[in-house]
Amino acid sequence: MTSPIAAVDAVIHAPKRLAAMAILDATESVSFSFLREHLQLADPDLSKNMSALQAAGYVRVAKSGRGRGSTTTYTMTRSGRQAYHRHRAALIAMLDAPGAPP
Amino acid sequence: MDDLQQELRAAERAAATPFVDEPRSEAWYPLLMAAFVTAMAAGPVLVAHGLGFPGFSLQALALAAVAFYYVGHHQRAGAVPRMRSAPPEVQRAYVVLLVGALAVVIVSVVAWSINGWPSGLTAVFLSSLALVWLYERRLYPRAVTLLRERLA
Repeated sequence: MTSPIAAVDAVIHAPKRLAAMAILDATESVSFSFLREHLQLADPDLSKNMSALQAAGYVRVAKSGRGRGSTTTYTMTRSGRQAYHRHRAALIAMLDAPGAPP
Repeated sequence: MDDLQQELRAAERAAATPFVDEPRSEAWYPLLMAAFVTAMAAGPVLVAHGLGFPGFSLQALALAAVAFYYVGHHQRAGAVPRMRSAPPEVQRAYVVLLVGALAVVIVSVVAWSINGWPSGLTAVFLSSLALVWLYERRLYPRAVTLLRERLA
């Protein structure tokens, strides 16, 4: 039997990225400003974390407009959704594992 | 392990935000949706009466109005919620909406077959208005309240 730790995704495991992936999993698409407001992150911090998810192939980014009116929108990819669900299942399995505190 | 539990809880709260923080629809939204459904039902009636262009135009106009509304709404909200990933409280409200839509169809078909298309279209408008109002002003807010309480 494989340990649930083996299924933990290093890219998603960071708390800010886990929360971002949770929002992305619950949406068809989400804007940069929505993520910034709900994750309460500064622009550079959010950009850095979203770039890591994009580099892993877990999110797609679309930009529209220019200047102050421009918007950045993120969509979760199929592999991102699979990775998120695998990671979440691994965390739950670790909590349910024998020896885990109640 | 406490950290893991907290992380999962934080993720669950984050996943709920697109549903919890969705902007409340405008007071006229049920009217828009009722008019949309009625226009879609009225289109074939006009076509059957030899009024093809007005029939198709009415449907196109209704589709354009609803699409225009949703684009604006999602821009304001900043997120497009994914119903398949909705929390159980919201999914239950959505199931009631779907059952209600079936009831709208049955009531309208019965009214239409007994009293003809004027009564049928009136039934379509009134029953869909009541259903959308119920979902937007009672079922969805109630689901959000229950969800907030669970995740508090």
